[in-house]
Amino acid sequence: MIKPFKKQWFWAAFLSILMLAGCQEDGQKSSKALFSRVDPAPILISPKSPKDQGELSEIKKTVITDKSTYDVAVARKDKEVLVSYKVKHSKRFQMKKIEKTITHKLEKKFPDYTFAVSSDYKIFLEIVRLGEKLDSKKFDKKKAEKRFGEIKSLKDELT
Amino acid sequence: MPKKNLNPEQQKYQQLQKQHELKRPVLMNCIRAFWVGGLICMIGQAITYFYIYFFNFTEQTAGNPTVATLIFIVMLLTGFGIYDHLGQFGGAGSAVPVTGFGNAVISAAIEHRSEGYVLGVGGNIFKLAGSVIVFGTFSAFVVALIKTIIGMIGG
Repeated sequence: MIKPFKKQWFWAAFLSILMLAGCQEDGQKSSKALFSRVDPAPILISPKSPKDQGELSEIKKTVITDKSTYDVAVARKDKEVLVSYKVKHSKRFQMKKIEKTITHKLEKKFPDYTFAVSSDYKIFLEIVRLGEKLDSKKFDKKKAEKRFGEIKSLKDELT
Repeated sequence: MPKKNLNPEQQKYQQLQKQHELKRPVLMNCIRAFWVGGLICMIGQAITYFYIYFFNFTEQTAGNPTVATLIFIVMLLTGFGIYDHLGQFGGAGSAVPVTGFGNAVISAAIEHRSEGYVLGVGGNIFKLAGSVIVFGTFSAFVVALIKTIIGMIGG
């Protein structure tokens, strides 16, 4: 015979999930990147010049001004640019259309670059992590370039 | 039984029964199912984020280990008798998500264990969940067939 459902068990489980979710806080953007807006700075691996940095910021601005997106991470290695963005919840049914629009917009505005555009959280998270590792000097240019390639290959896995 | 075939006494009894019959708390059941189903989905989302954050899974590929993990957890909970309480409270909210599949497999195995491991457990473990597997496999086959035909035509 089934015993009556114990309400206190349900609430205990519910509250512990809420509390555990709120506990994690280590000051790094990557730890919050999946849940909230972190607005990471554009990552320029090579070539490192103020003009290139400015252009990268312009790419980021182009994506963030789209009304469907709310957080953008950008990384660049030579002429390859990796763009990842988060889509507003109400617009998530039109993900493919948004990706197409943004890619088209970027290719038209910056014809010299090749773009890899994705709305995947994993790619976003990995770009944020790459930026943190470069900032903390854990990665040199060679390692960063290798990681850039690995992140880019994640996009090909999606299909 | 159609109403016209009932004799007056039976009709009277039916009216009496209708008066005393407990009404189903449909709205309350819906609210409970909504909360329990939502809670299961929230746990699923947390597991997805876990796989994305700690392992090399993308948003799309993380779905497969998430489903496997949820089914595994529910299989254990069913075995320990905890999921029964949740099922009793949440109703469809606990049966409709993928967790209902795990529950259907293990509850059938538990029910028939007295008949032996091969003819009892082995023969009946997919009694409830088998239709889900067959439907999923067959519909995937049909969709793939349609896609291939359209691709061959050149659509």
